[in-house]
Amino acid sequence: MPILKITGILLAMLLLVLSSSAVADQQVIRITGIPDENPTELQRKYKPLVAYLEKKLGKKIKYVPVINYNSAVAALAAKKVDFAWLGGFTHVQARIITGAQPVVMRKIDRQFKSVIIAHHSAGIKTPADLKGKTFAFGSKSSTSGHLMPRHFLSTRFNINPDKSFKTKPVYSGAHDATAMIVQSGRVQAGALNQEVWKRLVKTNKVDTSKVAVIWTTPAYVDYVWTARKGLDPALVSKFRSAFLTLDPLRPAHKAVLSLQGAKGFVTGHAKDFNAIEKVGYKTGLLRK
Amino acid sequence: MRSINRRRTLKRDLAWIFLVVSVVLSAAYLGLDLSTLFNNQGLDNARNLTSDLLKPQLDSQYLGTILWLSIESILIGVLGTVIGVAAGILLAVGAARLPDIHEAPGKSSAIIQSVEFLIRQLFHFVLALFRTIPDMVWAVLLVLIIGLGPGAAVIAIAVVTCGITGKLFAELAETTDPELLASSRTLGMKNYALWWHCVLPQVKRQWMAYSLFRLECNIRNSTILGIVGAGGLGSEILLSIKYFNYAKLSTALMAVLLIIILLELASAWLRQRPVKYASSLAITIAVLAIFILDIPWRDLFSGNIQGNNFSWSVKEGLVLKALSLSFETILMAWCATMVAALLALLISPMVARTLNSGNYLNDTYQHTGIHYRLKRLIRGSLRMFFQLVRAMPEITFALIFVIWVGAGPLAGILAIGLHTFGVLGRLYSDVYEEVEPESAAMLQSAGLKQYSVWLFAVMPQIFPRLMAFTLYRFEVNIRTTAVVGFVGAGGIGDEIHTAFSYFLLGDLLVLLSVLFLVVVIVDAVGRRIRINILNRSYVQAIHPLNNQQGSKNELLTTTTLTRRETCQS
Repeated sequence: MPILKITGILLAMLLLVLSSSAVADQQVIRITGIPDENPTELQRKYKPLVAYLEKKLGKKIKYVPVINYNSAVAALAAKKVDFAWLGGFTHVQARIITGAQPVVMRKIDRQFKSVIIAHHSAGIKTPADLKGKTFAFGSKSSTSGHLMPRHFLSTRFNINPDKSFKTKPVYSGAHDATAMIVQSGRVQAGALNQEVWKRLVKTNKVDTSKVAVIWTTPAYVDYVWTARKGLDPALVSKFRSAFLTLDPLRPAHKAVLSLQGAKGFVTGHAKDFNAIEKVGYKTGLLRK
Repeated sequence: MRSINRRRTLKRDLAWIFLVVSVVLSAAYLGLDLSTLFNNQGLDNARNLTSDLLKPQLDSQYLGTILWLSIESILIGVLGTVIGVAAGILLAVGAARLPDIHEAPGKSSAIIQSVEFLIRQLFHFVLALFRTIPDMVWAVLLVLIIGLGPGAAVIAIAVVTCGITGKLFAELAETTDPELLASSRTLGMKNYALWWHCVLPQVKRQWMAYSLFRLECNIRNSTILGIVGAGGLGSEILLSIKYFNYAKLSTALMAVLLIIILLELASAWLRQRPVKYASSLAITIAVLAIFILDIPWRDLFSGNIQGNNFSWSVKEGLVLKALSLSFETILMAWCATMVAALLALLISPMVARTLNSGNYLNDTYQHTGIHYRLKRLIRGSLRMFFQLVRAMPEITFALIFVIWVGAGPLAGILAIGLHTFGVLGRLYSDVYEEVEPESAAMLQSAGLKQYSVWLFAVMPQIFPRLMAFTLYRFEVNIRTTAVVGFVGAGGIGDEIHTAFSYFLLGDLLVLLSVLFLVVVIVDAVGRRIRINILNRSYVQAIHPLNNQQGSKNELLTTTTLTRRETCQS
C-alpha cells in the first residue's frame, strides 16, 4: 500500500532528522544585539567585533541577528544566544525573566542621554509644546527611545504619552527610523538616543534644517553586554576582559571601538540598572 | 398577500437603512478622519510611495536574497500544510460522530455515550481554538518558544490548518452514507474498521481536494508570517517599509505576486490530473523542506523556555478593555466589509461577462465595434485589478496604508476594505454569470438595457446568496482585522503586540481568550443569520465546499466556489 510506504519513509526520515538536529555546540559562542539600527549598519558594526572576539577567546563566534528588541530577550530566555548587547530596559527584562547578568558596557553608557527632536514646521520649541502634536518613539522596548523619554515627559512636563498627544504615539522600532519618520514630516516630533542622532548628523543622513533637537534628557545608564544564566563563569570573565583590554591607542582596536561608538569599556554591575527597573515599574512597562 | 409584501419591503428597506447608518456611526465612533487620505501629507506619502514602488531594486545580491526567501516561503507553506492536514485527520477522527444504527442491540450505556460526547466536544474545542487564534499570533508565540526562523511559521501554519481541515474533514466524514454505515455495523465492524473501510474511501478525494486548496492559501500566508520573524519574505517586507526603502518593498511584493501566480497555474494544472499526483508532489516537497529548512525540532520538546520568570499577572480592567477593543475590531471589520460590498455590488456588473458585453439572446447584436472592445477592456482590466487585490495578503496593504494615512483604525479599514473589494467583486461577478438566463433574456428582448436586466432579472435571483457571502466574509474579516493591529492598524492586535513586547503572558492569555470568545460568538450568530437568509429563498446554507444544490459527490468537481472563496474558512 503506497500510503503505508510513504508514511514509513517519512517516519524514518523524521527520526533521522530529529536525532541529528542542531544541539547547541559548546564550541560556538552565539552573540546578538538589539536591532536599534537598520540591519546593514548592524552587520557593519558587528563584523570586526566578531573577528576580534574570535581571536581573543579562541572560539568560534556567531552573530545571530534578531528582528526586534524583545526577540533578543526571548533568545536569551530560550537559550539561543549566550551574550546579548541589550539596552537598559531590555537588560532589566532579561534579568527579571531569565536571571541574566551584566558583563561589560561602554564608558558612554554610564551617562547616556536621549534627545527629543521636532520638525521645524510643527512650531515646537520646548517639550511643553508637545501636547496635541503627533509623536514617535523608537521600539516599545527601547530605553533611550521609549522608556526614559516617556518617564521624563511625564515627570517633568506632565505629558502622558498615551493621552496628551494628538493620536496614539507611533513606535518606529529603531532610532534611525524615528529620525527619518520625523524628518519626513509624517510625525511632528520624536525621541531617540543621542549617540545615534549625533552620528546621523555627522554623516549627513539627517537634514538639520528640517529637524532639530528641542530638548536633551538627563543622564541615565543604558546599554550593556548581557550574559545568559548558566554560562561558565570563566567564559564570562574572558568575554569581559576581551572588552576591557580594548585600547583606543592601538589602531587595530580603534576600528572595533569606533564602530561600537565607544572610547573604552567598563565593567557592568547589576546595581547600575536598579534605577531603570524602578522607572520601568513606575511607567507600567514592567509588571510583577 | 399584500400585507406580507409590505412587511417584507419594510424589512428590506430597514435593512438597507441599518446598513448605511451602522457604517456611518461606526466611522464616527472609531474617529476615522478620511481627510488624511487626501491632505498634503497623505498625498505626499502616496506620491513617494508610488514613485518608489515603480522602481524596484533589482541588483543581483538582493534578487538572490529574495529568491531564497521565496523558496523558503514555499517550503514553509508546503511543510506546514502537510503536517497540519495529518494532524487535522487525526483530530477529525476524534471529533466526528459516525451515526449508530437505529435500535442497535447492545447499545452502549448512557454514561459511555455522554463520555464519548464530552470527548468529541473536547476535540471540537481544540479544533476551534486552533483555527480562531490568527496564524500570526501563533507565529509570535512560537518565536518565543523556539526562536526566530522558519520553524515558527511551519508550526503556526500547521496548527491553523489542523483546526480548519479538522473541522471540515469531520463534517465531511459525518455525511457518509448512513445506509453503508448501518449495514457495516450489522456485519460487526467497529469504529476503526468503519473509518478505514467505509468512511475513508468515500471522503478521501474531497479531503485531498480541500487540502490542496488549503495548500494554496498557506503558501500565500507563509510569505507574510516573516513579519514577526518567522522566516520567508515577510521580514524583507517589514524591514523595507520600516526604513522607507520602497524600491526593495516593490521587489518583495512582486515576488509575492509571482509566487501566487505560479501557485494558481500549478494548481490549475494539478486539478486536471489524478489526485495522487498532487499529494505525492506535496509530500516530496515537504520532505525536502525538512532537510532544507533550518528548524530546531529538538527545541519544541526541550523545554528550554522553562525556568523563565514571565509575568502572569493581569492588568486591571484588561477584560473590559479587551472587550471594547474587540468591539472596535468588529466595527472596523463591519465598516470595511460593508463599504467594500456596496462598491463591489455597483462595479462587479461590469466584470460579469454576461452583463458586460455578453448577450442573453442569440443572433442579435454583433460582437464587434469600438463600443464592444471598450467594454471588454473595462472588464479585463477590472478583473485583473480584482485578481491583484485579492492575491495580496491584507497585512501588506495595512503596512502601506499605515504609511499613507498614519497608524490607527483607518489604515486597517482601508487595507481590509481593499482586499474585500477584490474578493467580493470577483465573487459577485461569478454569481452574476451563473443565473438562469431565461428571465434576463425576456427582459432584454423587450428592449431593456443591461443595467435594468441586472436590477430586475439577475439580482432578485441571487441577492440572498450575495448577502450570505458578504456576511460570511465579514466574519472572516474580524479575524484578519485583529491581525493587522500588529502593524499599528488599530483594534485588538495592537494590545496583543504590546503584551508580547513586554512578555506579559497573563495579559496575553486574557486578550486571546476574549478574542476567541468574540470570534466564536460572532461566527455562531452569523451562521444563524445566514441560514435564515438563505432558507427564505430555499437555498442550502453556506459551506465552503457546497454549491446551491450541494451534493457530496459534486464537491470535487464543483471547484467554482473554492476558486471564488479565498482562504480562511
